[in-house]
Amino acid sequence: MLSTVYVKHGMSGTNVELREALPGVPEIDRTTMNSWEDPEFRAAVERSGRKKLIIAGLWTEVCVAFPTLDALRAGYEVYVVVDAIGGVSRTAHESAMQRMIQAGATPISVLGLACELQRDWGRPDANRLRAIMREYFDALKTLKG
Amino acid sequence: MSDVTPIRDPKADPLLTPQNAVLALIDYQPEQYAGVHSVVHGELLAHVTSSAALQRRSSCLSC
Repeated sequence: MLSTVYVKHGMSGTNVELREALPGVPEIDRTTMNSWEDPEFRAAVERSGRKKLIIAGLWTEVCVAFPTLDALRAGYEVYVVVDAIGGVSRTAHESAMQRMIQAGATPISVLGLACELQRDWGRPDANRLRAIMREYFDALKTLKG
Repeated sequence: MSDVTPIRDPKADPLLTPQNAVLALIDYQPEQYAGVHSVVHGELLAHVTSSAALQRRSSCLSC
């Protein structure tokens, strides 16, 4: 699921790199900073029939925290991808992480999640996990170099 | 040692599977990135891109 805020009123859409990585995925545009209060967003989650919700977004303390807290209260298990998100400062990000964890959210990491989904190297799609890992470590190496 | 282990029932699996979870990527827009200072942008982008790859590769993650 992909969602944006206020694009209809002038904000830019999802960043180019992410859009290119998700061809054909519709964007749910909202005015509210709390995706859970947006009927279209909530309907999409409910339509999936799943009870485990993985959330990542910007900023941690706003567009991640608000729907996380609400979804927890609505009975979902909520997992926050801590290394794919960020806030205006470390303090803002970390305090929002604490707030969410206090409320029952589970922190996870991108690669941890990738492995959790694959679970067994003997299953199909193992090569796709290898590709994700390779790209991830290459990107980080490029940043350091 | 086995060649591969059986897939657990996704409804009962306490861990995340492509069938029991939905992934929501929220507000990854330039205006939002501009305000982020808890993490270096390049590093953030690498992680966001990997998250997108998960959404793409796990064909059932949000169906």
